[in-house]
Amino acid sequence: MNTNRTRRDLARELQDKERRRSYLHPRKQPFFKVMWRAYAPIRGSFKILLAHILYALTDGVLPLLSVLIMYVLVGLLGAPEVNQRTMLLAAGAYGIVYFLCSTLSVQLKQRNYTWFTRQRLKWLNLTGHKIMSMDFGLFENPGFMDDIKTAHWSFNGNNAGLEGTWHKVFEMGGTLVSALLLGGLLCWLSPLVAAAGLVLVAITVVVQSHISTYKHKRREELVRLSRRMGMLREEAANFKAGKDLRLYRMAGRFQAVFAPLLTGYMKLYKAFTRREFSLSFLEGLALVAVDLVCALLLVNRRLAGAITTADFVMLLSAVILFSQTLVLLSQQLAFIKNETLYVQDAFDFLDAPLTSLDGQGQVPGKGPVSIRFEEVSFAYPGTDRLVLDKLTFDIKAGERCALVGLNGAGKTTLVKLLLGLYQPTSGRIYINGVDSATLPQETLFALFGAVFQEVDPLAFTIAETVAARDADIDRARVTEALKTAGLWEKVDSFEKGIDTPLLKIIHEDGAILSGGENQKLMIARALYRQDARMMVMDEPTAALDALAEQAIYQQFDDLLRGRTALFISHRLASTHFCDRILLLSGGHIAQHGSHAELLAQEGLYQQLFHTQGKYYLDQKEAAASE
Amino acid sequence: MNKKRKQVKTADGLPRATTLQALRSLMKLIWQVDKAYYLILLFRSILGAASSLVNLILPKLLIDGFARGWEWEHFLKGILAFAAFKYLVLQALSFLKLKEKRHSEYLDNKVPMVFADKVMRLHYPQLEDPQVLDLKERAIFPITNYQALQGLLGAAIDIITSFLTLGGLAAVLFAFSPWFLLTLLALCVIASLLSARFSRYMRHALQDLIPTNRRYGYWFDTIFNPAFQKEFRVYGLNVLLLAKVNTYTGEIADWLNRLYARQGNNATLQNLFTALMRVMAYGYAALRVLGSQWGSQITLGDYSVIVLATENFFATFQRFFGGIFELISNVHHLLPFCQFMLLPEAEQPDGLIPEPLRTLAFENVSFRYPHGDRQILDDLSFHIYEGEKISIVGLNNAGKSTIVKLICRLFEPQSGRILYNGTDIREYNYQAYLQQLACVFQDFFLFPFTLRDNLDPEGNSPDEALLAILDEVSLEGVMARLPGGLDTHLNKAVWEDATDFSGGEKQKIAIARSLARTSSLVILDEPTAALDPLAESEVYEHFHELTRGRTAIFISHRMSSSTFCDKILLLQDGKMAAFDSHQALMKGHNLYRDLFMAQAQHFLEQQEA
Repeated sequence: MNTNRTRRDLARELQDKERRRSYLHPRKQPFFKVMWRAYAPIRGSFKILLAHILYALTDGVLPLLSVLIMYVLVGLLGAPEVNQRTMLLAAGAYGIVYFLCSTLSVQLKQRNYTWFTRQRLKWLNLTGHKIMSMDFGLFENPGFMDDIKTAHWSFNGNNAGLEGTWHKVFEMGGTLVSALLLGGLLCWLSPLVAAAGLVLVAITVVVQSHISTYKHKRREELVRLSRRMGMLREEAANFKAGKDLRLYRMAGRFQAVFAPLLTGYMKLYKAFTRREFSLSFLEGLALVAVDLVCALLLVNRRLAGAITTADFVMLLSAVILFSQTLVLLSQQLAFIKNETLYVQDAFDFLDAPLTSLDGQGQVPGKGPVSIRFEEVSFAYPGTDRLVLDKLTFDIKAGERCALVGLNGAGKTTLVKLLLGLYQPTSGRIYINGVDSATLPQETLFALFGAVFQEVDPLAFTIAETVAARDADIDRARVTEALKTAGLWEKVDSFEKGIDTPLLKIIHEDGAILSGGENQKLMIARALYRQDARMMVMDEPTAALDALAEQAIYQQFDDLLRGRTALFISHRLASTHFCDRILLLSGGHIAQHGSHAELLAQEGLYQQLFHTQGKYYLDQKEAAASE
Repeated sequence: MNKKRKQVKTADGLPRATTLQALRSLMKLIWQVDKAYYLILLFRSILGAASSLVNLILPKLLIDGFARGWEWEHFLKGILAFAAFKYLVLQALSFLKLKEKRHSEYLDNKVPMVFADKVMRLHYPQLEDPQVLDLKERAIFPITNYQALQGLLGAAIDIITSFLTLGGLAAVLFAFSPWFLLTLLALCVIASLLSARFSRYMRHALQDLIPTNRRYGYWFDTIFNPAFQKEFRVYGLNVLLLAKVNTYTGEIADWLNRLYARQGNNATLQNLFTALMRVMAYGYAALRVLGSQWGSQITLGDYSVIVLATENFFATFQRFFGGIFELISNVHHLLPFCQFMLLPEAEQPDGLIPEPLRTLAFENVSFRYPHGDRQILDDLSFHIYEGEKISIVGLNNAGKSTIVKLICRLFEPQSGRILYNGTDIREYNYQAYLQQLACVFQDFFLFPFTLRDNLDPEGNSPDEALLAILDEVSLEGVMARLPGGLDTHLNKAVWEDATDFSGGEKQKIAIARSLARTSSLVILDEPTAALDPLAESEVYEHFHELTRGRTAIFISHRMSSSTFCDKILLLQDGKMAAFDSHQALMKGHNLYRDLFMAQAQHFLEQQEA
């Protein structure tokens, strides 16, 4: 197969901060490119484009209407013969036009709002999908997780991120039209006005841009500090910690550790806001300057007699509205520019290839697979210590192996490498003779049925949990699996049987199972996967009492005969139904063979077995002798 | 600290809080956390109002200047003065906005910690009550997902700012015509009352949405939860999980659609009033300019100001009303939070100081969990004497761990007593009593601090003593390769440089923690579940040294452990089925023998093979 491909190991590669930055964000995209991409759905919808334009016109024209009516009325007031009726008619006409325009613009905005929400959700789905399929090791890389956090939030809100930007641009259409209309009107007075206006907007946008870039560059630090405080608070408020917290008087420590974190965070936050404040002097100046320029020009012209009183009043109200509009426009532009920085991060996340396993290979044959680890060494990404050191062993197709060893020997690590969750630092893993690194991720995962040590259930129904899907569930198979795992009696006692939801967060009448029952549920899930070509079980009976454990192992003996399987267990006695035992020690397989063979050899296995068994035997002998 | 106040309870036994009570308690909380905030709030609002009103000055200034026949220099001075004044106001506002932002960020981060602090002080049985857990989730959700606290503070600013602005505008309009002002106010009030119907609808709709949002939040957070990532990949759960997320996002989008449509209709109605008011303002003010039929004549300068003021008036009134609605809405969101803060805290009554254990006795103890459906312990009685090592054995859910919780006074039995040195444990000083106990729970918890903090949170023991204890539980090898030593952090989610200890290492740390205090009763609940045979054997071999001759209670599924205990307490159906030595129990036909043989036979078969 494709053995010349350089193998990727993203979890390891992206440990380094610089490498991570350049991998996740290879190019700074120009603002318009990001916007172009963000506007793909809008570009494709004529209806929405039309709504943008209509809104801009109906909303943008409102300030101009105010100015015009002032002009008309003041003009009428100044005329030699004042017609009261005309005046009132004019005011009335204005009222009607105002009402119509504002109604239209409000309706356009409100009724199209959720269209944007639904579009954003498509991107949210892509993000969720990517999170659940990217390299597993990346989750244990805090720097990486902090980096992509802001990316997620871009797709998760109505008022910020991608959707916030869309709404703001929509509104900005109106502001822009207002600014242009008013600015155009004022240019009649002097083009200096338009120039001053442009300068104001430019200064504000540049200043805000500078601030948001500054914040964006340092976001990782703020996110990191925020995360620390958040996680600390969560742990303090964790109900499960309650017993130990009270018994060992930990409450005081939480306060003591939290306080400096908050101080540090506030210091950073203050640095951010200080910058904003110092630049606000500039923005304020620019704003007042516009007022100044316009006012002086107006007075000048009026004194020179170039404009009438009516003109003056109209232009003055235009000036006031103009500067308000400009402020709004600058704020909207600044918001959009700021959010697109984070929207780009979100796009970067979607674009970055984040699966190391992206090959095109296949696993030949049918039925149980054979496994071969060849000189596999592994250190956790970010550490140097080799947990596994040139590990080499075979598991034949259909062979049931037990993996034993001391704590921290690397048994769970070995399982994670086998399942494809981590990539070996060096060495290869072969499945039916094929290098697992050449397989596509989904293919590799689909080979296995697995039971992990942690057994927390999710709020699915029992059937969904066992079948790991919500459609096309083979209900008979679910029942069989539950029976084998020893959970059927309990499930049958529920009113809804296998359709009973778990946990109470989604359904108030959901079931809460005990630790042992949850473990049986996870065993059932592994058993459901009848077409799994290998079973992997990591301490599947740790939470069960002796009798329950015995029952399960009896089932395993029957059920897994002829299937490739790997068991991890501390309880050596439970490995007796396995064909072969592998002893992991010092990072490699120290001993292997059948139980009888290993027991006969002088070594760690014999020592482990006797150590665990002696308490039973001493007593049995003592009992027998009485 | 928590005075016993007669509390009103809801149907499910949780404390009740009205909107007003909630608002009051929130205000008190903000005062306690950050006193300066109220002052900043006030000044920020004053300046916000000032910056709105300042725009009224310019037109009057200029137009009246013309009426008085000012010269260019006069105008120049006037305009410059105005510009300077406006600039000052803007900068002062900017400064206060900065201050307010900092303080509200501080509050946003401090208040959740105050909440966590409350959790840490709760009366323990509530921590095993699913309804209290639910209340906790409902309490924290609006703060993290809706920014309810920020929303509350923002609404307060809007209310005060618009109120002050309204005051200024009202003053201008009053001078113009009190009747005009009154009519305007009347129209505003009518418009707002009509709007109130919509506000009420929105408030209820938002409340209705919260459970949906929480469920959506659960699924969404699960996608990012590191604990489930293995399963997602190996079992290909992407599709299933995203399907769950999408049921809620669809629901939420539909709900939003209905809300926005109604909001649009309401806004249209409000626009009608705005149009009406503007027409009124333009018309009436123009008439007053023309002559004194309708009131004293006003200048064109006044005309501009009146018109400007009127336009602002309704908008500001809407903001004021909107602010009040936002405030009430956010207080409603924070109701679960306020309810949670009313939950009873653990009482720390004074009492006798216990001496080291001589006897521990259960006397006809019956117990069932507060919301439980079965009797866990049924008239249980037994005695333990100083120095004894007792093993408690039974099937899953037999009540073994419950006995531990009762001894630790986390729960109280419904009937019967637990006697420590002959005295009911309830009569002892709680803290002093706990000091006599050293516990390793089955679901022990290690905290996100340093190793030293975990072993010795109050800093009573010197480093050497702690290192010695770590040696005893065979962690010296692990310690040797830790560059930070006792200063190593434990939780990687909080500290990037933390060390992820293996399950077995964590269990040893938990055991070490229990040894680091001077206690006379050691309770170990499944202390070797995560340990390999050698490590487990070490614990057993050194059990006597580890427990230093203290009285010990040992619970384990591994029957081998009971062989080095003096007596075994066999629990069956909540009762004491047997309480005797291993040898004695093995002679009879009982559950203990069955359990023991089930595990022993593997070793025996091998032996005989």
